[in-house]
Amino acid sequence: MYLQLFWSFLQIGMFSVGGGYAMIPFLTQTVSENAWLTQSEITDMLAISQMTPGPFYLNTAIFVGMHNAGFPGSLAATGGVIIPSLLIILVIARFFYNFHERVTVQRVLFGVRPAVVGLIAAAAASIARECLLKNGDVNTLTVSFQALAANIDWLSVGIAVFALIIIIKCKIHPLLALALSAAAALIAHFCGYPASL
Amino acid sequence: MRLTGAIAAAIGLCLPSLIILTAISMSYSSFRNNEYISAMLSGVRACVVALILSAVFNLKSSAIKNPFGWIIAAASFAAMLVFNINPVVVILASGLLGWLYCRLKPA
Repeated sequence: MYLQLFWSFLQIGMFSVGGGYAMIPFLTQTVSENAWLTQSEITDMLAISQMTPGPFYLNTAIFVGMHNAGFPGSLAATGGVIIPSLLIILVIARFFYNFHERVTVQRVLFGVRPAVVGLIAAAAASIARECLLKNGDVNTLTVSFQALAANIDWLSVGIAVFALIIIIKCKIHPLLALALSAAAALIAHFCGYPASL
Repeated sequence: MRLTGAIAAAIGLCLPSLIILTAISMSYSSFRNNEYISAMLSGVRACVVALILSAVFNLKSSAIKNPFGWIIAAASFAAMLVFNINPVVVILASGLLGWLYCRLKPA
């Protein structure tokens, strides 16, 4: 178990090129493949990791490790996720001061960067399917339009759209957006809106 | 000396997260079942979708420079969401394609 956690997070650390959010596709895939967390727990984990201080990728690793194998598990996942960047940066710092000028690296990154955008968008879509629908297990490609419309959790959709607008237009801090969204959902709960999960 | 410095910095980076996240995940299963907390979490989940989408919009402008970039992004999106291809494979393949593209079509 510890070894599996270590190995999985080693792979995540090795391939999530492009900073914090770039790891989300790898993370959600690995975690759901191993059944380490349920879909809604994955979303909670992402939210908690975003809300707590410290690097995002590290927080997710600790959460998954802790949830499945206790403190040793979180150490294993942490080790796995930081070792690739530690090693790679050490090597780069040692040998390639002009790393970014190197043509081959630039060419490879020319393909990798758009792919990262596509992968993150795909992860966002699968998370959206889970938490903007009342029954996230439903295969959205096969249900009728009416059934889909009835299945949409309009409160969550409203919060997501509003949050997206204020994050992009007003450039508010992610923490503030999370707090506002939580408050909106809590108010709706007090007004008698049924909880979706 | 330098290596130990790097390791010390890495440990320093991890320690606060380790302590905080350990505490949170230990209590996670109990607070998750609380009526009010779970209502708040449903709002937080919706906001996570918005946060990730905003990251996509931010990255888009710097990462996608031409139609080739759009094709790679769309193909990666479909590969992950529709065909369930491992993201590691997607990254390796698109790195190779980017390299080939720049080789064959110099700016």
